[in-house]
Amino acid sequence: MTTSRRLLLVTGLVVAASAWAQPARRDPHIGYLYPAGGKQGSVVQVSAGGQFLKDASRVYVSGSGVRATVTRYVPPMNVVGKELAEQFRQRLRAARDGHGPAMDEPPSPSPSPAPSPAAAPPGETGDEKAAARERRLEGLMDHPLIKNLDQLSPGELQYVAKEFRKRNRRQRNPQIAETVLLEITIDPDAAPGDRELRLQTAAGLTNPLCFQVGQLPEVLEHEPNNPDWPQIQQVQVPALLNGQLLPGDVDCFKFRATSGQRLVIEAEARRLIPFLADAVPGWFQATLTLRDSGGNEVAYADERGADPDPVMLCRIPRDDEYRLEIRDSIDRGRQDFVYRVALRERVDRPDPASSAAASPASSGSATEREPWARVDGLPELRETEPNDDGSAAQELEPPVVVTGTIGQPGDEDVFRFRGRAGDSVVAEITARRQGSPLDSLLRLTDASGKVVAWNDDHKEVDAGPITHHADSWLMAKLPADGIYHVRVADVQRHGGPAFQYRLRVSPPLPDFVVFVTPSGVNMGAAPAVPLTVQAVRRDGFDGAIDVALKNPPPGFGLGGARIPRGRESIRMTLTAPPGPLDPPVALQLEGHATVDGRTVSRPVLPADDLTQAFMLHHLAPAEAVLVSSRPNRRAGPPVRVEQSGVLRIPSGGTVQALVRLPGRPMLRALQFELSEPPKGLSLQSVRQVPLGRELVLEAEDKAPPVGHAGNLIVEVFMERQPGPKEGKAEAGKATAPKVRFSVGVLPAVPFEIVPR
Amino acid sequence: MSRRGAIKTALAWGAGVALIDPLTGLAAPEDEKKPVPADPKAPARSVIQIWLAGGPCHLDTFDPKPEAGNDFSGPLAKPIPTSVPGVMIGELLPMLAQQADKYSLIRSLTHGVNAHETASYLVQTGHQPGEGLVHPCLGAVVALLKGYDHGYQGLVPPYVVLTTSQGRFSESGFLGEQYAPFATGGDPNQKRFAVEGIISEEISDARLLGRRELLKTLDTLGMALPTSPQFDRFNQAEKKALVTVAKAGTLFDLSQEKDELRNRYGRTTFGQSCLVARRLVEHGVRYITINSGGWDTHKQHFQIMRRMLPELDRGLSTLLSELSERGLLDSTIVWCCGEFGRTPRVQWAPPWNGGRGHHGKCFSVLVAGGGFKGGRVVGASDSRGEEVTDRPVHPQDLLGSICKLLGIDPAAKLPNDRGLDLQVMPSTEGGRGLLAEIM
Repeated sequence: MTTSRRLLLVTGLVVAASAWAQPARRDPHIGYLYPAGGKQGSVVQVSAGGQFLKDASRVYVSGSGVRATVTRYVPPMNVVGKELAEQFRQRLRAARDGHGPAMDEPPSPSPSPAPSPAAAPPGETGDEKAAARERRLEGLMDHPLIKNLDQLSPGELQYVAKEFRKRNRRQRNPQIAETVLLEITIDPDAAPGDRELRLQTAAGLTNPLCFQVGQLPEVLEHEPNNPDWPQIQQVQVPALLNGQLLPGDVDCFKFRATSGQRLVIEAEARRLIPFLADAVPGWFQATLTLRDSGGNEVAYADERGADPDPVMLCRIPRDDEYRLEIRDSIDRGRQDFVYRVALRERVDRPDPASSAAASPASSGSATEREPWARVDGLPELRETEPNDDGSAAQELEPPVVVTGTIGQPGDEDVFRFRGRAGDSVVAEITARRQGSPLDSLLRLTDASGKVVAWNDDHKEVDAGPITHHADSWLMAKLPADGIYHVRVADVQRHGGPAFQYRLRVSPPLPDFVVFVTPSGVNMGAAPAVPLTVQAVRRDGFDGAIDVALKNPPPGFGLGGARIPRGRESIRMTLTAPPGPLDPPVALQLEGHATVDGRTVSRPVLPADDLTQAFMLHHLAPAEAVLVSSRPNRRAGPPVRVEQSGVLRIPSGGTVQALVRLPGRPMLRALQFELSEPPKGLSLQSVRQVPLGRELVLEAEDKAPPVGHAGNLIVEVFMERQPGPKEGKAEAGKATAPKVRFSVGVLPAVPFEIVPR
Repeated sequence: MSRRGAIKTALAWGAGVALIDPLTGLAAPEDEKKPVPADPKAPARSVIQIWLAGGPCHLDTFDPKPEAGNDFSGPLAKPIPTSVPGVMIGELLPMLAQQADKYSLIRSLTHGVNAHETASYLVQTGHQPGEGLVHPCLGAVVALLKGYDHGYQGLVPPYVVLTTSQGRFSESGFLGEQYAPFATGGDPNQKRFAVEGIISEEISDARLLGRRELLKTLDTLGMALPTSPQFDRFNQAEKKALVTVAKAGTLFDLSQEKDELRNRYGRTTFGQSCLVARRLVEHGVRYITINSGGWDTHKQHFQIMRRMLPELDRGLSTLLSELSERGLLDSTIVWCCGEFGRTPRVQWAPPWNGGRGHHGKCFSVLVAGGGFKGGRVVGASDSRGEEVTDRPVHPQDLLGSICKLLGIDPAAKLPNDRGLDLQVMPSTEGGRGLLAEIM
């Protein structure tokens, strides 16, 4: 390699690495889509709110039949707020001139019309500033906040201007402050349902958000539409209502309905954005209220069983004009409080509300849900009442799955089976996971009533919106030959037709499910990126699980791709070929394990680790693992830890590992650390050797214990001189101190703690 | 009426229902076993608790980790030396750095709880929550064992909160409302520090007295019965109460301090609260809590630190300095921390954008005065400040040590209406967790 090429490569690493200076800080992110869906055969203008979106260039929508393009980028309010305020003033002035003195111009939000420093580059002259400001004003004409101002009545305009001023004063939320306008084309034959939408920026892909393809006529809310506004937006049944709630906001829609008409009003809010990291409760908890023309409440819903998204099943009591109100349960709001509410007639199924004729409305029930999922291919039974105590217990012959209902408050369903001493038996309830309100309590007793095992909640890693893992699971070894009872109840002694469940009674059926996070991977200069793989071990399975890429494109690979025996989670690494990954590459992963002597393969399910209410974490399922990069990505040299097979580290001792470095001067500046090592394992020293760096790893005496296996992931750091805007020189020094930053990680190396 | 009664009457008259309790018989019955009072010969007489509600970051204050890199230190990566060789603290605390010989730092406080309520309870009561009991926080215990029942004769209650209670839990717990703190309300950084029930924000002292005179002229029943002994006693009590309230008011009147000194504390609510605390200590108040909010920095952490740490630095360092100059530090314990630390790893990703979460596994506390040695560091955290690596200190160890210095036996029993055997502070390893190395 010539000196110039070497320099170019090294420079490439440093330039690319510089982009990694604060990698997470610049990961593009979207926090909401509004509207979060559109009708088949339509073209929809959508706002995507997020952060680090300035150079968003493409849109990826999963599935077929939906195409999207980026229309333009809109800076955050702290950059363009003054220009937008000026637009409002101009429109209000024009409205006042056209409509007489009834209009009051609001006070100027700022005594100085000068653009903010963030909007006006330093060094511009007065004329240049004015011209630049004019350009910004022109460029804002299709801003979502002002593009429809011409269509508003003077009163509406005044109301919207007032709301704008309030909004402009509110706390900024940088994570959703930027807006990218999208145009989304939905083919007439595009399959209805949820899609994943991500934006591609220069720094890579954003997280996915839900975009729905629907079949009902779509309606966008038209502010003002609060309850005391005299002319509330009129809609017709059926309709799909779209809106956003700001703090204290209540959105209203009016429609005519006739006596006896059965309506289903179904809100989707949490389904669109399952978790809000910085809110408590950690999602938009929508409520629906239906009122007649006299303002009397006709129906109310704030949930659907255990699902926070409300469904209202309603029989209309008389011909009238009705008002539907949508709000957050504690009147919060923000741009990411986005909803879609389906308003339609109920025609397909018997109306559970009809049984309560005196009370024409009720909240939703499990009957609106999808049919129960069938599991395991086991024989199926239906519960037979009466089975409320041991003497009336329903006979079972495991393995079997029973579908039953805790039919009334205090009900307990009892089943009996004959077991043999030493046999292992599993009893499992599936209810909450299928939307049932049942909070199950499961007990296994012998014929005398002595409890052999019991369980209330069985929490396991799962991808979905459930936050209360209410389903029960138990596994027990039977102490003697004889009759055993399985007892199912609601732990809070509730019951009713919706309290359905499926009970599996069987020998252990060991199995596993594997999730990988994140679902969007942006490759940088470093040779690898970490992935977290989590295993859900079923019915006592504790064997090792090997993870592999399924039919990977050339150049892709996994490092440390084994979940060790008994472990539920491990970090491994993904490597990708050098160069840009454009368009993104969809990867499939599989988990393989030996279960009862046979090889079992399961797809590894992509997911994203979302935070709820500041500190709780949940996995949100995704459709695919997409790997992307900057368009100009230049991967650095293939630096890796030289190790074939498992690195054995003696407990209470040390071991050397070599990081082989090409002989490039700049690479000497690389610094190494262990990334999230287990407690007790540390990097004792790093020594320069002819081939690169020798890492001395030290394991403490007892932690981690002998036999502990995992992956060694080495993180690489560099230092650089901050630019003039970043760093501040100390007094008496010409330059600011260097900034240390992470370049990325090296491919994972499996290790095991062995006896010394 | 006794002096104590007059004070109670005065405060009840002024403060309203919240302070009437001492007169309503809520205290333990006379025949109930009396708690063991504090040892009057103990070195510490008063406590100033500086409560940084929300949880300050230990890395940015008293346990900096510049070697951990940008993802841990963020832009605050240049800790500064202190007046104690070898001890470094955060770069935004230069004035405190100069006072390091007056305080010790515990860098290994731990309880592992990341929820505000539970962690606040743990750090201020020393007890695990549960068992259907709410334990009193240390201030209430001090009010019980060093308060009116044991020689305290101050004009204001022995336990004062500047300026508002936290609201996370009942500070007096099962001891009852008579040991709850007197929360001043108001803002000492305003021109007139309106103290709840003592100083009105809108009515001057002269105008208040004028109103009392006017009221007398309207008191037709009193004028009709000028020689009634009951009315006479009432009038005497009221007169004493007014005098007492007026005297108590002077405690909170910061206009009596020189501007130069007020500026040294910082013209902020926190800084002026520190000055009020010093005045209250001079008056003999037993326990003062300064509640400083805004430390729950999930977002904009570093921007907020650049605003709040200099306030803390100025106020706390001046307080230590003044207490020392006035000879009060030897008898006044100052301790400063929050309910937990913050996640050492900066959360750069949205929506946090450079925030820090809750971290109860390892955090720091500053202790000074009242028998605590200065210039020491107790315990240690790992290279990233994530875990304790040496000398774990649990909340009960810290509070038990403060009790010891106040002359309160941590193992003493607390009165309760359930007849339970409840001691002041649980002990770690038979009391071996106490901070003997700095006492």
